[in-house]
Amino acid sequence: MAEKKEIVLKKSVVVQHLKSLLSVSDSIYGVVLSTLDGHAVSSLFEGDHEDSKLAAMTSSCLALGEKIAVEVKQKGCDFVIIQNQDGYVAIKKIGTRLVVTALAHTSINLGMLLSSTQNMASRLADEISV
Amino acid sequence: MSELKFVITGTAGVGKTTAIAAISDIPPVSTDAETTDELRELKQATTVAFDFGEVIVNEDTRVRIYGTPGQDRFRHMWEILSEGALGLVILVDDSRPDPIADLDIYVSNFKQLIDETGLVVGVTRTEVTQNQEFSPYYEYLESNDIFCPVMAVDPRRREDMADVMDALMAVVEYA
Repeated sequence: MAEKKEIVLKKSVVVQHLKSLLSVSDSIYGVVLSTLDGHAVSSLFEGDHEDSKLAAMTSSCLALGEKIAVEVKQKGCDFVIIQNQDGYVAIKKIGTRLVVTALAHTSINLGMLLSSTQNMASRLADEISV
Repeated sequence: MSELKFVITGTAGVGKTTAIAAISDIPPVSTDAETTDELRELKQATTVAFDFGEVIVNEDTRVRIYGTPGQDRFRHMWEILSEGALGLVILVDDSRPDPIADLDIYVSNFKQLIDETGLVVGVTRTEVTQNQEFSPYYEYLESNDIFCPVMAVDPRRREDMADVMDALMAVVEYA
């Protein structure tokens, strides 16, 4: 059996990273950190959202993205972008165990959303060594 | 070419992924993620979107089989996978503390699909419980106005899963 490594996340550190992503733009209105198997770890929202359901759905979505990539002989899917009439949902894998999901209005520049989410994910991954 | 869509559901760890791998005529598609919760004691990875396999019945008929995630936080996948399905298999682990309560979770959540199509209940790990008496299952189902086959099944055995699929096709055909 493969060795299991516990990830210990300090809440203040996680919240600090979530806040940093929220502060990039007024158009980013929600951030959720969750496990790859669909449990919410922490979240910050402007408005009323349920992070537990969103965490499970992002887990499914990321897994599906990975399988679609494999089907067309691509690999390493760690970013899924859902563009819709009201905005964007950016789902970014962090290491092998975590996922960050950013919610943004259409007013944001998509490239800015993606790079900000990527940067936040990288910083968090470095800090907690996942 | 006609294509039938069946769905397999049941508690996490009951053997849904294994069942689809056992019966599929194509390499199955699985969407696993490493478990991070109490399920780690039972298994290292869990299905987070769906499992998929295909059974070629004959030149004209294929059965597409979708396995759901077991945990109810993935209920969104239960709803998505139920769309267009023509039948349901619920796998129940007979060795768990309250298998009837487990069955009730899936009967309740898939009631519309069950009412509109057909159901077969597969009881697993009877080799552990030595149980061949399924009266409690039938009584529970009948109390919910559901009349369907209940059969012992080892999800690792292709023959067992083929029997389940045959039973489901018969139920659906005569529904």
